[in-house]
Amino acid sequence: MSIKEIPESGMIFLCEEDDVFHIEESAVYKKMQGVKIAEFLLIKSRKVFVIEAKSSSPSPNNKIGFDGFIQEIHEKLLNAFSLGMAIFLNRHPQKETLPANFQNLDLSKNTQFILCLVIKGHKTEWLAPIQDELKKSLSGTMKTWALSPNAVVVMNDEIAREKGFIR
Amino acid sequence: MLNSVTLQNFGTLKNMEWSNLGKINLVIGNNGCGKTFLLKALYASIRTLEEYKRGDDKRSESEILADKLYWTFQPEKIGDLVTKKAESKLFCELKLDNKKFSYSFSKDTTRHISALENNVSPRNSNSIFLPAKEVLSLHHIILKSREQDKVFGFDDTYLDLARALRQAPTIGRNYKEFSTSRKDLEAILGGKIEYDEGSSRWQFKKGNQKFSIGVTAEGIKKIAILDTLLGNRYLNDNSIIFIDELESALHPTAISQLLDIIAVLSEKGIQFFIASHSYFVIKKLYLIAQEKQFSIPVMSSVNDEWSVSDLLEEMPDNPIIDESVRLYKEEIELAFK
Repeated sequence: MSIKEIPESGMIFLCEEDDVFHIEESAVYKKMQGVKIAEFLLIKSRKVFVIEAKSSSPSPNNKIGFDGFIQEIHEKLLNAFSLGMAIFLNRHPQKETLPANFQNLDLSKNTQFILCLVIKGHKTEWLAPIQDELKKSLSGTMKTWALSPNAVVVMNDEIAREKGFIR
Repeated sequence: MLNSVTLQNFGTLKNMEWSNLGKINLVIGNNGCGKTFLLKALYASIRTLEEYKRGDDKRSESEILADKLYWTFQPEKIGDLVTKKAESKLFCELKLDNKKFSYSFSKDTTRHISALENNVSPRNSNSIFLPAKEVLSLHHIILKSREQDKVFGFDDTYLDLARALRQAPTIGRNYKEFSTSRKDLEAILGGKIEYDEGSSRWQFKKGNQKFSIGVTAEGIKKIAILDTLLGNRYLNDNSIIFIDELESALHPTAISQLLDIIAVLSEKGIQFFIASHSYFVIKKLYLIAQEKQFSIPVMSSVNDEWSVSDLLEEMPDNPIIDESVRLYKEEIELAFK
């Protein structure tokens, strides 16, 4: 297996070729117009991460900017998660174009899905309120899909590096 | 305005220098690190200067200070305030409006402080200490215990506050910032507190309903006290307010609202010293410092060492902040389990 490097928002994500579904490069996404979507789906430690990368975020103190930011991330993560599920369930004809390890993915509760935002250069102490707010915003999705209460994660590049997501 | 403070061998505070004080000043640290002690040390000195030459009081600064230290800290003798095993005397120096007030005494001192220097002009303002526990439901007990029975238990911070609250509200023009702040405080409360002369009890009035202060929420009592002191003109624009554990009994939303009001009052001239171990208090003050671009000096205790920083520059390096990050990281770990 070869390692694929995905440059996003000033960070280089490292993934096994068979473990990553790079949505923006996919044929199925290229046919869609005007759908805001996260960067990629990644299998890591037997979990599926839906990854959205950002180079900055507004502070929670800036109400309009912050709420808009959360709404945008919500939409992108939800659309990416939905697209993945739709492909796995053969609602799109491109299932065979998915990387090898996605082909026979167990969609039952045995596989955890994590909706993950990575913000470059963000202070660690400022991550918790974003994670709390994003979790609140996505709580409907988490409940309807029976995701874990810890299924929404917000990291900065420092933590993403510690967890082996980026170089 | 208090500009700087130096304390040596003052109880748990062995050596502390805090200069360039701001309109709002924050003291943070773990339980038992000496936050309340520091606030009380400052309060006793400031009240000494405020009581000196007030009305017909003929007492010297030294006599007032000895009384104030005795009844604020309630030791057997004031010499007991000197740090245990310290080789030199207790020393305190304040700069108030850039004028020096200092004193020192040894552990053998019972009541008389001989070494005292005062260059501060007599003050006509009143400063106040708001303790962590509320005083309204104990108001008459505090006054009886101290004024009639003259026993230890409620220290001078409680007595002074109980007396200050006894002052009747004044009708008429107040500082614009004070009346605006009172409106904001009353909006948080949803009512106001009133002293009922007949029953000698405080009551909480909400619309046409009156509630006994005993059944009123702790947080409401806390905010109502500040509202009352602004309304009865005990405080003026040169007062200093010491708030111990501002966060106690308050919802995070109320903490933020109260701190916004404090920021307005501080811009009018009231100086604040706030002791806290709440992440919300630190974070909100950090945001106020950034938004208003004014300095909020922080005295922070970590492992018995005190260090100074400024919320205008950064969030302080302190276990309170670390704990919030640690909880976040613990949550992240759950996702990766």
